[in-house]
Amino acid sequence: MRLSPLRRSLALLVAAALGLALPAYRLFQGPRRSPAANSPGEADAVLSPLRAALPPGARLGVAVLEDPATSASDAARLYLTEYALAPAIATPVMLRDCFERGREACGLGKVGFLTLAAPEPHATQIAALLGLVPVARSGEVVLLGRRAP
Amino acid sequence: MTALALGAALALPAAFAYLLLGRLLGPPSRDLLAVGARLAEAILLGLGLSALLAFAWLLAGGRLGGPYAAVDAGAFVIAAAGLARAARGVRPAPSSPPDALGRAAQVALALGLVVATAAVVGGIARLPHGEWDAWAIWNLRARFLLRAGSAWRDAFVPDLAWSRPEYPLLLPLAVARLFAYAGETTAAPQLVAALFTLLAPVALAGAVARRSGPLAGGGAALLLLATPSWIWFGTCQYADVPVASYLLIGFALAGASLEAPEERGRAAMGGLALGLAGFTKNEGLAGAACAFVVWGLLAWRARGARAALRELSAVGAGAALPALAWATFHLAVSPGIAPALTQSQSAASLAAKVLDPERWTTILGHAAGVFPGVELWLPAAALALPVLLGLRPRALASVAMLAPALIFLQTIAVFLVTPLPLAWHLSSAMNRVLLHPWPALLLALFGAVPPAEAPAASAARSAAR
Repeated sequence: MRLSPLRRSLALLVAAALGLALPAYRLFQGPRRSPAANSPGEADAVLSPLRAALPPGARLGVAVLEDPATSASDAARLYLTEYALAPAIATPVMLRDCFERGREACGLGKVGFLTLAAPEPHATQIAALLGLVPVARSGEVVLLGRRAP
Repeated sequence: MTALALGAALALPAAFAYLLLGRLLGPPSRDLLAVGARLAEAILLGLGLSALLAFAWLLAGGRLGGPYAAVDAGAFVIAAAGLARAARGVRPAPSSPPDALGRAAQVALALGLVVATAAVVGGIARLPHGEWDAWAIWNLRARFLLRAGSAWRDAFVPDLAWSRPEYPLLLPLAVARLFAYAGETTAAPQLVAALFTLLAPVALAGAVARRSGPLAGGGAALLLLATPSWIWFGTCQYADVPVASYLLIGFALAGASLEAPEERGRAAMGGLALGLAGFTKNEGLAGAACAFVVWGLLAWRARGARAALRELSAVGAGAALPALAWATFHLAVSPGIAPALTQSQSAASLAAKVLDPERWTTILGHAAGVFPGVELWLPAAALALPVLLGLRPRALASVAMLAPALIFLQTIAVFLVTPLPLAWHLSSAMNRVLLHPWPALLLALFGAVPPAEAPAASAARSAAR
């Protein structure tokens, strides 16, 4: 089949214009990102120093305010902690439940460690109320355990 | 040092896959596009094959780390050396040089790849860990596979159900294997993401050019590079671009083997790519199943049931290893398959959903609104350009056309009966799922263009006149 060079040239021009212009536009376009998109790097920077204090197979609680199933920010906190501290297995611990319903009801009984984002002296006070002690600290996050290192 | 280690981790399985493709398909012609496409296929298939080897190692009780890198490198060097000895003396097939427009298309594609590379690198710099699913699912799993040592199965405990432990393992394995070579670095998942995003268009160009010439091949690849969601989900480090890439390679090889049934090696490599799509994501498995059905029906129509079964067995043989890996993963590691979608629903509830016209309208309307590139009229361009190049409608009866059509119907069916809230399910998944068959659709449309006459043939005809 013989096609006119004009048709073939037109097809090439259109394809080249699209294939060159659109990725170039993307290059200069502002970032399309969700609010948490930049957080993994920050979580890594803050949390990874705590990994050394966690034994292999550690079960880790992550102190949250709300149920991560209904709170996007608490879900992000749980997922980012898991990402930074894997292979520790992180589960959410709702502090309010710990104080109102006890350690077992809030899941604290199932974990050996708890990460808590709180400044001092609040972190030590909360740890004492929960029967835990600070094991390691990095930035605003403190790792609590059952006994001092 | 990291760059060297990552380079070795990619080059060794790629060399093996390149030689394997050469053994089974014959060497590529001397044409630059053909060699580039073969290299692209080899790098992507090599990533998949190396992930299968890493999985076998883990299942055998090994752990990923420096010693594994040595074993992995040794295995690929020995296997590649064996294939290289057998390939000595094999000469590439001669090829006629492309005409001026064909050469211009190759130049445009090369420029498009340069710009797309800059866009991908820029995107990755803005999102070094990828988007949400990348770090909550895929790269999290890769970290487990590396960091947990022999306790790697901890990644699949019920406490981590939110991280979708039932998703197949190819992508995390590919990344964790690079970690084993180079140490844990964000460059590993970034590199894997960039390779799939940038090499699949090259493979597409080569597959189309084999049938329809370099102008159609370059056009198809440029449209894929122009697709905003292709570059976006690639830089997000999601599994959707890898699934689409393996489906593309599988459809291209299996489709070509339909026209040359004696080329069992081509069918087997097509089957391998389809199997790798299934081990990347369960939607890839569904896509591969669509390809098997269409391929079998087309072969049956062309040559009868017995021949179709014989030819299908070659595709199945190629898919056997990744299929075995998928089955072992679900039997021995993570038993659930799409648990959110397979919750039991009553027949009455299913019937009500299927017969609800508003549900149909919502789903089809959403699909039309998030179809790849629709915001820039790229689907219209994907139809118009092949028509401009003389598209032959009869050539559309191909695996690459009919399998994506079946995938589309299957996608609509899944959303029709989904037990999840429809609006949420549509907004969180439809755009990514529709990306899976998009490169194959471009292959089908541009592959239905007749090849332009070579300059030599054209000159001879003019002289005869």
